Amino acid sequence: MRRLNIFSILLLFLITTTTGFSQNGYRESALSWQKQAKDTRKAVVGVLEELEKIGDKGNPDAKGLIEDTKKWLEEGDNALSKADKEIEKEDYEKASYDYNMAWQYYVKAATAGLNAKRVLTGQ
Amino acid sequence: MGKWKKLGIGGLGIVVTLSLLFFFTGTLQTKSQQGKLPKGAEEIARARGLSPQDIEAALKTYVPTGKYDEYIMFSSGGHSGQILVIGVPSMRLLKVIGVFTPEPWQGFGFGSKESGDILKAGYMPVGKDRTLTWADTHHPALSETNGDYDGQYLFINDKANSRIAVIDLRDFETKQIVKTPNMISDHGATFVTPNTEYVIEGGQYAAPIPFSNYAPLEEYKEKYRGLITFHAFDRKKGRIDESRSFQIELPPYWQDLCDAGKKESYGWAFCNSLNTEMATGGIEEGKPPIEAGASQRDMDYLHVINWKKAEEVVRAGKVKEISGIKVIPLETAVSEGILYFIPEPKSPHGVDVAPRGDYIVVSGKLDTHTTIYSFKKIQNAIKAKNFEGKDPYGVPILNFNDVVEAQVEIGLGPLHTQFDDKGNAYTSVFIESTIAKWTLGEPYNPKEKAWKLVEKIPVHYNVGHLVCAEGDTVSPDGKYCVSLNKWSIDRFTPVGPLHPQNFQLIDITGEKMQLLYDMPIGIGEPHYVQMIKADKLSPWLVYPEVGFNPATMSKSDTAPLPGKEKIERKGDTVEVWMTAIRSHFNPERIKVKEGDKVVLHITNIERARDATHGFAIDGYNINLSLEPGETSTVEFVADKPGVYPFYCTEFCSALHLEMAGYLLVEPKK
Repeated sequence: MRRLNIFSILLLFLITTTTGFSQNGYRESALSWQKQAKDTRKAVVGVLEELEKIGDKGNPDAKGLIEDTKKWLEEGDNALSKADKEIEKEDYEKASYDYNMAWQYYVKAATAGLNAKRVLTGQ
Repeated sequence: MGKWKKLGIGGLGIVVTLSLLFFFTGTLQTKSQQGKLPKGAEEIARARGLSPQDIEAALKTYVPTGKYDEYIMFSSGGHSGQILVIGVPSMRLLKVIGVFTPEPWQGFGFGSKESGDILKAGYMPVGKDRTLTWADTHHPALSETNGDYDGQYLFINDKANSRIAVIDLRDFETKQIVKTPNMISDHGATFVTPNTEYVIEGGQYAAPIPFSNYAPLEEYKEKYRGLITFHAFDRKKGRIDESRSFQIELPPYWQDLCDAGKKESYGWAFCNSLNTEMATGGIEEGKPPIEAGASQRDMDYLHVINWKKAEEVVRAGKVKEISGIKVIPLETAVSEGILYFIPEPKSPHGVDVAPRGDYIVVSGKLDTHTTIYSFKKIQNAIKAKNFEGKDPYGVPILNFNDVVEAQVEIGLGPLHTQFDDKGNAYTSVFIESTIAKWTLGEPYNPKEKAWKLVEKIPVHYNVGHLVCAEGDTVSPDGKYCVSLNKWSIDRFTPVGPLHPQNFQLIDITGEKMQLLYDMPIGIGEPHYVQMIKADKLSPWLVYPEVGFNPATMSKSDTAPLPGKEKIERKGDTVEVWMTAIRSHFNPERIKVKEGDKVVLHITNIERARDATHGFAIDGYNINLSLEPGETSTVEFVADKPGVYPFYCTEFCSALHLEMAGYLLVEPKK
């Protein structure tokens, strides 16, 4: 459980360091959102790995929340992959929006993962 | 010790708690000769698997029969369009007040002319079918005097249709619904100014002014606008006075929650905004969804509004009249110094003014801080015209660093803040599902203790708003907070896929916050709640006089009185003056012809507390609730021939079933 708490703190840091549209245009914004989305993804994957180690302990609520975490992670990955292709084509505006969307999906995954942790541990 | 082993460490706690209980009840016993603590209490605790903390929580929330709660919460009823009245600490549901949605028990919207007229006043101003029968109630606001709850009136908004309702707390009944001109959605409502001069209603989704003026989304920046309404409240009449109300045109950002300044910041109002990117979506066309488009920038704008100055501008006539209400144009709001912006963490929710009016706390849902602005610094920056620039609509933007006082790192997804009487603030934290307690700065706390996270308590789950006892007034009480959780997941016995919401009562009197009680809310998604000391309320137990009309809050000239009952026919109209008392209506037989208009005036002539009568006519969708002394009128066309019993729908006496009569509708020949 200690590792889960560490991932929570990491998530907190990642969401603190939000970025966004920059005066210098979409390129900087896209790169910034890319970093944040990828960093947040790492933290979510960490939470998920820990949850999978613990297992849902037969708790249907935890099971549902873990499934949600995976689903949001997958949605985030789809958006991330779309954005990666867009950035390769130097379509920074679309990439910026899609990295942002990926990040939003990862935040949703984090919410579900943290709720699963609360259900399993009470903390 | 053997039999205590199963209780483990907790067993000691139970012993201590029960001993304390015994001590206190023992003390009472010598005074009142009441009963002892039952011998089986330990066995009950053990059999029910209660921990010492559970027992302590039970002791702190249990209110014996005949005893009353210390606080009353007025909760939004969410989608139900109603208001829930809940006692604290018992968390007992005391009443559901019919507001925007017809409510049969109270006869609200089921035939009584009085309630029908109130509901109709809130219907849409355009369209063939203007009827609205539901509402998304969000934020109730108690009337205030000098920034403190005065227990006289209650207001609530309907986000879905931009409406405001007024409830009189003498009888806990809805008196007025106003369909706000020009606006079609709201969110920053209702919040009152410190003497209830105005009820503030901030809009949510930008639209043309008025909303019924069509404009395509391609013209969003040019034709769409935000709006904030200041509904003038006439306390003497107990009604919103739209002739004195006004609106301020705002840029087409999506304005969110508001709060009125108090004490030091009296005369000002503060509203959050989101979507300063002016995203309009278009996911179906491959465009970024609104949620991505609206969170591109790091900062949105806190709207700082000088409503005292706006009053002057309205008096000077520098307004446009649109849809019957005075509107201050955006350029006038800027040139007259009514409107300023301050950058705030993006997608914020709560903006909450500290008890002395000196700090404004903003919580950005995608940030991890609460951001605290100093009202003094805001004023200094305005006076010095120290702006970092202007937004595309010419609104001056104050420099964030010039006006920010502090930022407190509290967790993932801060949402809404309340205050206690000891210089602490409590913020709901959505993503991580906690309530965070943190300290305010000087003068609430010495410098070394200022702006520090004190403690967090887990809540279950996805907390939205929170409420603490009188926690948004100039003099918060402390004692209790309630976490208004959107999800309950595993907290209650399953009742199908639609789960109740979860109100969690928290004791904030000790060193550590303590969770006391979970209350399921199975009627909608309540958003916000206000909690008032119960002794500030002075509700009537019965109406002051027989023949009292709650719609006018006065005795009715046309109310039927004992001995004056009658039936009169004038042409095709049959008018009936009826009284109700245990256990009969008088008259009991009403004979009409198919197609007649029937006008029934009914008075409950009882004077005893709780002696309510219902009046329902089978098959005609009519049901009234007549509280002792109340008079009401029903008008309908007897379009269905046949025999229709009417009866009292309250179990009013042993002969309740006999409290009935007949409506005889003779068919047309």
